[in-house]
This record gives sequence, C-alpha cells and structure tokens, in this order.
Amino acid sequence: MAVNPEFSVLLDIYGNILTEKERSMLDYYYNDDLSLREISDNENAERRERRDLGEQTARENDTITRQGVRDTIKRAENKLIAMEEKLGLVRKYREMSQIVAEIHKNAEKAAVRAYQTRSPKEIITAASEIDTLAEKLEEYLQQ
Amino acid sequence: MAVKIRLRRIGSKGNPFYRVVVADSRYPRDGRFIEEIGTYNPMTDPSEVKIDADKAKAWIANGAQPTDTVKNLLKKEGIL
Repeated sequence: MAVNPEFSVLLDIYGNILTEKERSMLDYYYNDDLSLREISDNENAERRERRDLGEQTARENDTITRQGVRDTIKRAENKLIAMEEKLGLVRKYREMSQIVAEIHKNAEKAAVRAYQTRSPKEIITAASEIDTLAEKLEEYLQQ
Repeated sequence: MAVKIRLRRIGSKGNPFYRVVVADSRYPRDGRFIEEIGTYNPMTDPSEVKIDADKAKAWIANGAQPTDTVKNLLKKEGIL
C-alpha cells in the first residue's frame, strides 16, 4: 500500500531535514498517491523542460528510473524513521494535541458553567482565558 | 491519457485525511480533478472509508484505473 498515513505525518514533522527532491518525491508518493513510475515520468519531464530552457547541468542530463525513485524514497524514509527514533516528535506532538484538546474542552465547559451559575467574575474570566489560550495552542500546533 | 482513481491528501499537519478523486494522470499536482467520489480518514479507529460505490464502479467500467491504495479500500468496502 503506497499511501501510508504514518509516513505522511513523519513528513509533516521532519520534512525540512530532507533535500527538496526527497521531500517532493515523498509528498507525491504519500500525499498524492502517485506510483513510482508516475513520479519518475514527471521528474524526467521536468528535467527535459529545464534542459530545453537551457538550464543544463550534468545531472539534468540524466533521466531517473523507477528504481531510482524507489531508492530515493527508501533513503528519505530511513532518515525520517531515524529522526523519530532520536527525537520522538511525532509521538510528543500527538500526546500534546490530545492534552490540549482536553484542556480546551474542559475550559469551555468550566467557562459556560461559571457563567450559568453566576460565579465570581474572576472565575468566569479565568476560565474564559484558559479556553482562549487552549484554542490558540491548538491553532499553533496545526501550523 | 489515463484516468486514475487515487487518493489526495487534505487535512492539517499531523492529521492526514484523504479525498478519493478521479483525476487525469497527467495533472497530478495542480489540484485539478474530475470528480470526488469519496473520503478516507485513517486517523479514526477503525479507519473510516466513504466511497460512492455506484460512481466508483461506473468509472472503473469506463476504464479508470484505481491505484493500489484505492484498490485496497474498494476491496475493503466490498465494492471490488
């Protein structure tokens, strides 16, 4: 199965450590569901275009095979796996998102309840403030 | 010019969510597609697949090629 949500998420988090080529190939592979053949065909068409525009370099002269794309993707996947083993950001990101969602839910409930029960103003304000901050954190995590 | 049935990711960072689209294989990247025939959410447990079976069958009968991933989803849904 080509599309793999796990790798899609690894790419979201660690994509910047890859080369541009690796990143775009993984993006095609996991997010656009292209086959290795389609990726190599597109890549070769792009190189041909650049060659025709006169941007000729030694590498643009080559074509990439399906196998070449496969090797690039495998190498990039290994880099992503190694990063997750070292840093564990995906795991932390997931846990953090869940916690923030819980905080948000509870703060909202508390704010509404505090208002309904005519609690002291500072309790209503504090609960609303936590609610707003949790919402901000959620947005921040999505960026 | 082959017509394909493939997934296309939408959904925010860390939260993959896919559309099942019928698209021309020549334009993979410009976001264009011919028709959306379903969605796939892998993040729920179990994952949630919604595909319009009639449309999927009609497209396949007309020569559209599902990718391996889509083929798996179609099988799972009993459409193929």
